[in-house]
Amino acid sequence: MIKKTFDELKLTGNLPSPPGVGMRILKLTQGEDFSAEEIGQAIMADPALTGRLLKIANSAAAGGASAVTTVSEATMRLGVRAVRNVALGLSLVSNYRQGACSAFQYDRYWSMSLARAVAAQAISRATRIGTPAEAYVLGLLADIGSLALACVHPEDYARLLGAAGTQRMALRRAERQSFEIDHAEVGAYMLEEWGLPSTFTEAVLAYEEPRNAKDGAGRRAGLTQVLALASGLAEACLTTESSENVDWAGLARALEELRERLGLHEAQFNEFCNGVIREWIEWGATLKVPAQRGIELARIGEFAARAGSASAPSHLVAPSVPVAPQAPAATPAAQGLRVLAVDDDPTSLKLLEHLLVRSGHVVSVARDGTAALQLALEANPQVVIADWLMPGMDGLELCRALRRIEAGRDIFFLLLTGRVEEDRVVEAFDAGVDDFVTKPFNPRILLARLKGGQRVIELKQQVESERSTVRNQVAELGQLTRKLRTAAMTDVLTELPNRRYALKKLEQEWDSSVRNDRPLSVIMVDVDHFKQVNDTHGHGIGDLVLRETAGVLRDHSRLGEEPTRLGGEEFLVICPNTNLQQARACAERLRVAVAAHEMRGGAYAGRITVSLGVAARGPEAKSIDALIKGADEAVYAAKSAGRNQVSCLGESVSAPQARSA
Amino acid sequence: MSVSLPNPGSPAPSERPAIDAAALDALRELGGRDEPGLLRELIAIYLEDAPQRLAEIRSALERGDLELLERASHTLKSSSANIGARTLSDCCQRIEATARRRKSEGLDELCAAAEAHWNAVASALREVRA
Repeated sequence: MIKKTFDELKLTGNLPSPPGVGMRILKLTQGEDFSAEEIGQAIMADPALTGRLLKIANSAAAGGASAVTTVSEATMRLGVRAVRNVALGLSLVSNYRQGACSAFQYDRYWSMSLARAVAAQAISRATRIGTPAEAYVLGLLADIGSLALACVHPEDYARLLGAAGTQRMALRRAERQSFEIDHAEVGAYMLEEWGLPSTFTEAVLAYEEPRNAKDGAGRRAGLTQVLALASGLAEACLTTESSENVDWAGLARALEELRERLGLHEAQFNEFCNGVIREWIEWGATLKVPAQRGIELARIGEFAARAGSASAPSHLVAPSVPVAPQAPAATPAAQGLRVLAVDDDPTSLKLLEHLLVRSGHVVSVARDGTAALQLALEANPQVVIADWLMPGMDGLELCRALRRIEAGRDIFFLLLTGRVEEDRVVEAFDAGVDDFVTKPFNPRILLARLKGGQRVIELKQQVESERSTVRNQVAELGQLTRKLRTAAMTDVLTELPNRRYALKKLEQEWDSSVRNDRPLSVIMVDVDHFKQVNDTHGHGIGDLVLRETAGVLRDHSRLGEEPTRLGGEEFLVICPNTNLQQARACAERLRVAVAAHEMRGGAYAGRITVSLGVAARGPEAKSIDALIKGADEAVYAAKSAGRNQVSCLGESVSAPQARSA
Repeated sequence: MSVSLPNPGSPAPSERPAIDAAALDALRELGGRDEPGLLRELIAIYLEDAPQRLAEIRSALERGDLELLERASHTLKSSSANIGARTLSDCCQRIEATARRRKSEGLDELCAAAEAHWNAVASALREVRA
């Protein structure tokens, strides 16, 4: 179901995607057989990307190795796969620097991603987990799902970010409520689509989860651990003494955890962190991403102590400086246009400027075509009025150059010309000129032509705004469809996915487990003595028991384990990528949790127990039906053996006392 | 048609004023209340820029650089027209047209005439400004 939700997000066409070179590399490497030369050529087409790749190849070296200076050397050092992934990740950074989601801090997003990338690289180097280059890419892209949600649902996501606060797991819950999918899941799917390794997607799904769950679970390993540690350090890098809403204790804990994992003394650890910060700032300059030294990391503990002892220290309650939403500079006059006037004759330029300013337009001026082109890129004018004959780049060349670039396509281009001969007029319109005015210009005629231009510009704006409305409606419609489908797939009483969903999901998971040769298990959960509860306390309490049981199953399932309600007092937990032994452990965890949970409602207060049957795909369960039937049989065995216990298909039931907590 | 007179902008400058008073009035009016100094500012800009164009014209002529000559005379033609220096503007237009055809016939005389017109224009404008 989540996969489907992701496909719908993709259909909006608004998901971030790598531009130009990145896309070429992606296409080149979709199959298994691609050569180092092909990738090298694609990368070298972009000199900036080449430089950044070499920087990674060199900083990934464990030291002592000689510097690599060419893409093919980098490929030899890092491997083709890694080079491909690095190039892909880096190509994304150049885009998506701003967007429509008002509450999404695009600058901070990239700054944080970059800090996480550099930190992951350093941690990978120090712990020898993964390779530094791939850790860098993972760190860079770990939160890409948030950016994606901001791109696809700018307004809804802005509202959600405003309400959900900064706690990542709370944010994920809120996202799931609004979009049926959360940023980690979106991110994981995107990385999967881009062909990044499954260790990446697993890490992205898991690294934000709280670590110290009560039952000692959540032990992170491999890249997930690297990413989680890097994330903590990155957070600390972006924190300043005046940052608001800082969880100082959490930051201090994260740093301490990292220090312990690296096995460093205070001083060594400080040196390590400072190295990361230096690299972050250096990369920031390279990629033009903001990166500034924040709080002295050694002082975070001190802040944490203070925050713990009193309410927030007064200096931490910064005056509420609004987090600058990067609004485009407003044009003063309501109807004023941004006009760029270009003429090599200063008197004409002065006259033009005077006329335009007096008519309420915002004017910038240039004395030749080359300067005008530069200015057009900076000032983003809606109208360009240019003289034809100018030294260097003349008016027509300027027009052609503007029409070739994205930003210049919609500019209304008014050409000033002394001569109106038919051939020349045709040449001008061929070059992309919208209209012309003869020189010396009559002010009234010039302004009249400009009015025509203004109408065209307003129409274009209207079309653009309608198009974006339609885009939003498509996204909203998708959201509604998802809600409806979710409703059809959700059990009304317990709000768990229903039987229909369970069977469909099981089908998908079965196929994928066969295809990828991965284990698949299910756990059948049956409430003990449910009929008795119903008969003794009435249906109301029976419903309460089912709701509460569902809640316990939901709260104690880990990511990937999916509890559903099959009907009656029967639940099914689907556990992809899980073998029988692991599923048994999961079942045991759920059994203990249900037994420990006190259910209260009205006059009723009590505990109930469940019997659980586990079955895994294998010789004893060669089809979906056999799998469910096997789990059913195991439940029956557990019931016969005295209830409140776990039994597995193909294993004789052991004594209940042996396993009970 | 051969040009024999040093002042080909006919009628002769003595018969036609260097600066068209009506054009100056129009500029004064254009400045209006918003920018009363517009005319003075334009004159200042022109007095500073025109000598550079004339210098370009002179050097282009010496080097036989007809392309530069076309451009410089074009610019001076525009600015002179803006400021009301009709005669000089017309003269520049003829230089521009000749240079565009990549002909050099008569250019010496035309350029000399432009210099003469310029002197008249400059002194007239300085008077207006004073």
